[in-house]
Amino acid sequence: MNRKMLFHILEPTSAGTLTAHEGLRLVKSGASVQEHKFALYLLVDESDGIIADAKFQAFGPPELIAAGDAACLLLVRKSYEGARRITASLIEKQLGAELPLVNLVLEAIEGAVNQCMDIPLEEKLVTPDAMQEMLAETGQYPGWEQLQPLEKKTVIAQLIAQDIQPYVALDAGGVEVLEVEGDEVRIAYSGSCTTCYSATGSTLDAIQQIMRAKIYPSLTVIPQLS
Amino acid sequence: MNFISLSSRAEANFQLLFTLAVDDARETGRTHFFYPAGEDPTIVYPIQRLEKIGIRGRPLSLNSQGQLTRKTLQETLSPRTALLSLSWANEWTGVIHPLHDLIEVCRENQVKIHVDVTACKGSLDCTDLGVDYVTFDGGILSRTPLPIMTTSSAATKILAPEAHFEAARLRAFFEESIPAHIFFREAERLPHISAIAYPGVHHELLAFHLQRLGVHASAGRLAALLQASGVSPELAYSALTFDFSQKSEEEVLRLIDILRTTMKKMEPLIL
Repeated sequence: MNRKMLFHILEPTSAGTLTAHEGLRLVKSGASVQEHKFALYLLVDESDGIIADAKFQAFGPPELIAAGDAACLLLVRKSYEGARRITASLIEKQLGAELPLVNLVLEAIEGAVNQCMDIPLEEKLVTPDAMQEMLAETGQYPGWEQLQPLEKKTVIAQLIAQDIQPYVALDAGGVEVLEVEGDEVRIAYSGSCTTCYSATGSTLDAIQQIMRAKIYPSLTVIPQLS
Repeated sequence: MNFISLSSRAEANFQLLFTLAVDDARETGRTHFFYPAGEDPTIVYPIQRLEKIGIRGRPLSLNSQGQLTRKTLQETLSPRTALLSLSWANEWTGVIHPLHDLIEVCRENQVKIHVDVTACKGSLDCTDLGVDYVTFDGGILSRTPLPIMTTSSAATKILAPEAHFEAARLRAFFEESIPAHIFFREAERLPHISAIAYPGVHHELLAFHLQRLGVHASAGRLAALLQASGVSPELAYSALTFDFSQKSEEEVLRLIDILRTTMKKMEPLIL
């Protein structure tokens, strides 16, 4: 078992329940399969739909505890709409492991989100903050300088698919690599990223940081904005 | 009475059940093999496989103390019943079946009875056990004997020399010291086995935490066994078995302390 999993199992920081506060709606949701049970508690800001806090309780094996704890950390500071976009692969990616009961957590999230649909949304981006998680694991791509442009493009595309796209998707956006020339990586946005100010700001910075940390330190990311 | 001891109980039980199915059951037409619900897989799986050649296996329900009773057996037997096959004591719950009662019913109905005594792990005095077949894992012959088990014509008894008194004492101390649900306290049990549950904490999670702290508790088939005795699924899936053979008082005190600390940590997770 990897260290991330162990941390969330042994010290689940989001275990417990929540109580309602003024201006914050307490949302409870649960799911169960066989003997396993999962309960999710959210405090949602009634002015903008942002999740102020998330806690959970569970009856299940260690993997369910890890999934619940990781999901709660992902939920905090997202809008309830962003919470809906959390996927099994994103939670598994957070923990670096396959999680057999992760659907229980997703079912509880969906149930909680459905109770928030009347709250007006003031969309705030979560992508750049969430992507910082990816910087915890670094490592240069061996022999990057010797690769042909097409090979470099493939490497970048894989990195985007694995480490960037899942987070951008939380804000209903998309990223793809167009070409790699020397140390310059040209990317194109899609979805909500195309109209987002962060696409040339903090999200772009986060993408560049991840590429520099995981592939090659001199890479520069240039977005195609046309 | 026939003793069958091979290198593993699985091998011994399979050999016996296969032989009975092929040599006796198919020729006499008595093809029903009975066993207690939640019985060890070394008995259940061979019987299930033998269903392909016409044997009909049937699990018998347990009472609230995890035992197969005379009444249940009497009500279930039919002229086609050939065999009752069971482990004398259950290694997960520690519960000992009322063997003398079961033997009587089997004798009255010309049903053969097979007992596996592996879970009793020790020096076995089975000379007057009164059953047709006894199997056990050959490996237990080389282990430290605990407990010694024997039978008399009147009742099944456990002989408890000093080591076994000590295991029983430590188990009693343990069970009185923890705020947990203790299973089958009223039943006759092996002196060194304790099956407990902290309601609301899944057994795999508790076992994981305990293992990190050097405590090895087993969940195994306990949940299925407990449900066969009418225990609710949530309580059954919270259950763990502890073995107190060859343990010291210091170790038990440490275990109690670890359980207390771990359960405090688990509290926020409990629904």
